Amino acid sequence: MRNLENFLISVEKKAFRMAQLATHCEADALDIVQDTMIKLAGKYSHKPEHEWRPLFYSILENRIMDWHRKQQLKKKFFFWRKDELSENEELATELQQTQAGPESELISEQLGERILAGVAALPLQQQQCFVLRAWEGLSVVETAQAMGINENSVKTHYARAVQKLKAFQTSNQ
Amino acid sequence: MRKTEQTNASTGESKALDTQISQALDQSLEQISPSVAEKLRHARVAAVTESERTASVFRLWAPAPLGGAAFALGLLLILVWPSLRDTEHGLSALAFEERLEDLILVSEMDEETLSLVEEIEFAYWLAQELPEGSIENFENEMFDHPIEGRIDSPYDQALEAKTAYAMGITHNG
Repeated sequence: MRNLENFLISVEKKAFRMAQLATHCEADALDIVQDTMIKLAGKYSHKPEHEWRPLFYSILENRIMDWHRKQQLKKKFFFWRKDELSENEELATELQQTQAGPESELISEQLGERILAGVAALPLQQQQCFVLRAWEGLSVVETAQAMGINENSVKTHYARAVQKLKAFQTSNQ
Repeated sequence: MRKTEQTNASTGESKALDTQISQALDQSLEQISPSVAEKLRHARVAAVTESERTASVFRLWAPAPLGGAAFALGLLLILVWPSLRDTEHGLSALAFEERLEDLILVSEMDEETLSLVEEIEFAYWLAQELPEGSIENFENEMFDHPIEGRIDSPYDQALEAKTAYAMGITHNG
């Protein structure tokens, strides 16, 4: 159990950031990470330790994709509330910005903010592919397994993400 | 040659971008607010608890398949043993199947039919148990010295014969 706890400590913050980049919402990101942890602990803790990392990210990716599907469905079913929803989202973002205080100040201090904004603006699959490959250091095969796509798609998503991030950086310089 | 140089330069740029973004993301981890870190800690504790619960449930139910297998084996032995014994005694190897059919037949019988079968079985047993001619002798004796209120059904006669035999009234006994 100690090993599992140590593993979760090592991935929880990264997982939270990844979910936050994908959802743009702190509360939803926390829910996603919690679900992922509980699923891993409940169903796969008996697996060998070296399998935990790919399994964890695989569960996380599935949760993020599910969240996006739900959001899309919500938008389809409540199309008349679109304006209201987007207003709420804007309001929430504003609130987050004002409430975040020192955290957002620190982020905005540096170049980091621009870079993170570029990552956050990427299409979901490109973003997750890039983060898993470049940040988490998963191999092409592991990324493909985690995202449930084939290896060629991983390479394509990654290349496109890099291309867009370069363009984003250039336009912001 | 020129193309190779371009590719190398492009790969170098990509790596620089990867590093830059990874650093920015790492920095963003340090800036996660204490409240989020606390929520992540709660989520982790919940996950570890879940894992322990699952493990204890697994420990509790781990012998279940073994118990089930032992029960199935026991049941099989109960059903198969008589037929094996019959085979040893030179009887048909299909005795097991017949016994099973008997069992099914008995389970489908109503109360009246079942009592009739019991009577027949008892009569059969009695015919085998009593010495030859004892029933006739007993009936003759009863005819010579009739009992008041005597019931003439074959079952009652047999029952009386059995009782008498047990008490040592028979001519041969």
